[in-house]
Amino acid sequence: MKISKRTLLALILLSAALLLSACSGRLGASSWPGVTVAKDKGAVYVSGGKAVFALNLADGGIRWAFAGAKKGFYAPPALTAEGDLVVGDYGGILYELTPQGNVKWQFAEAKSHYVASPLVTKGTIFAPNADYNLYALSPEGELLWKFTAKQALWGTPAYDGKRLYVPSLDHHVYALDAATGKVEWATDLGGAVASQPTLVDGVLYVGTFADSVAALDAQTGKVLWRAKTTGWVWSAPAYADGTLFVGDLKGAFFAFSAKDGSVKWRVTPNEGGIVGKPAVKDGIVYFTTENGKLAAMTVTGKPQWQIGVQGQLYSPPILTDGEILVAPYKGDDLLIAVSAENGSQEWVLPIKTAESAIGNSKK
Amino acid sequence: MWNTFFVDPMINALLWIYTVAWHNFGLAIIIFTVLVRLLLYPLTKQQLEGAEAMQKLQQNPEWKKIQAKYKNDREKLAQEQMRLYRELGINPFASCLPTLIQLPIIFALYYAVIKALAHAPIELINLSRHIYPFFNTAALIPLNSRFLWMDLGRPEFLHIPGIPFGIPTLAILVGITSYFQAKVMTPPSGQGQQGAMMSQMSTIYMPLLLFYFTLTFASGLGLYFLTSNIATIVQYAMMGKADWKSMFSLKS
Repeated sequence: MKISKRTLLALILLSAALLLSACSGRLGASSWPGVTVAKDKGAVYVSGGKAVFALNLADGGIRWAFAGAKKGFYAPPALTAEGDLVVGDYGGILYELTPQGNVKWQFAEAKSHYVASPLVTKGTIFAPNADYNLYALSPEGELLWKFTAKQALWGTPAYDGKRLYVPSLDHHVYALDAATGKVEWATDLGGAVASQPTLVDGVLYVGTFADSVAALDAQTGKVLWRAKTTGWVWSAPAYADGTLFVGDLKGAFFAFSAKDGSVKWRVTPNEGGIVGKPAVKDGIVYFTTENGKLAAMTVTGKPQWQIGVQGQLYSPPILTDGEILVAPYKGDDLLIAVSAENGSQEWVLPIKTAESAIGNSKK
Repeated sequence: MWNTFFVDPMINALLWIYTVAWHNFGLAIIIFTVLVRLLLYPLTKQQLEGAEAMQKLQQNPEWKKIQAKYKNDREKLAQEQMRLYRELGINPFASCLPTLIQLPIIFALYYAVIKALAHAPIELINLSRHIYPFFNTAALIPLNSRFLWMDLGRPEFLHIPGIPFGIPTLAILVGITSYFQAKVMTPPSGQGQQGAMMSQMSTIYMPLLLFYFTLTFASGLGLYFLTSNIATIVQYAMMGKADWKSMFSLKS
């Protein structure tokens, strides 16, 4: 009697506790889809959840789906000069896929997940992984060298033709010789750096978790200026005509002078954190928010239009000719294309349609 | 409310321990688990005493008498049992109420460990919202999730040179300690058929379940299970209640 009651209770409730914890404890459950456009092929590639999809840029029709990975994809695919896709999954495998979605090679040495897309240069592929390593691979997928940071690498390196600028969660930006991986300088920014630095005219603009944007001399790594924000800055700022545009996790959106980091204007839309890198074109800056809003403002800070989608928008807005693509997280749609002019919807790819394509996919 | 009152304080306590425990998250989980177990000590004690009172009751002649008399009349038996509880001043729920009170704390602990590990982007964004403002999050994040040979955010496998596959040492340890813990907590005497079945469930299925969870999920959680199991065994031993004989006997 005594034992049965107690044991039964403990058993049932502990199992419930375990099951609940299991929901959030599962690996690789938490990132947003990645979107890459190949204009010359009229294609858009989306890596999200279990698969990489190739769609028609014009109407969102599915060309193929690659669902051969065990763990699924979150990092956006990078494109080679031949139009191949290089994309890493959450199980630590990097694939090169042909434009038709067939596997050319895979690289399986990484021990953790790929959060960022690799950097593809002429002759070398640089793949940052959460196992603290940056892997430099030949175009055939053979390891040339690797560089180990002190923490996970969640951002794509920036590249100036000779050097790589590697952002790391270990609070540093590292400048490496792209040919050998030798460290040329390392600058501690006092907070994690989660995304690709923006490189303009020899200056690196970096968003940091130390509630700031920093400008670094790419030659020496010296900090030129720092601009305060209200929260963590996940993405690097977008640059246009001497102005930097960036949002923070507290939901504020800033325009800084690229020269000295002074604030040109700021708005607080109160629509949740701003994670994705803003996009700028023809005097308009576009940004996405956690509450599922896509906003367009003039570069001088005048609101143009704003739309809401179902789900959360962590991925950045992707500009094509006259259209903006957004990929919601936890929405009904995998990808939504809207007009850059007024935000009206052009086409949409529902997740259900994408999932049914996985059934006929390449494995 | 759940987050504000349970999970967030736990996460922040865990982070605070992390800052003083040389930025070692494994050590933070261990210290944290032991501290929580210590805080829950009065409840554990009460639970044990309640259980003991119930066990003693089963030896009570009158109890045995009504068991025999009404064995075919469940309703009447229940009535008589309640009468006896009242007469002897025993609260039949004394043994399970403390378990119930502990549960939200245990739930929160699981969540805190998982949330603090923040192995992926969205998890890290969510974590940033749970940290109290007095922490210098910039300096703190990301947490160093490496402990001994483990990455606490991933399932653990020990790779020994010469052996082609990784050995899930943590999962095995969790399985073994869960078995011993269940053995310590459920002495085999005087349970009746139903009790024997239940204690069999807890000595066989719980270790298997925890083994499976440790095998599949972040090893930080496994480290919590392991510490918690050892803490329970030690706690029982300190109260002089551990049934060492039954712990090493294979009969359940």
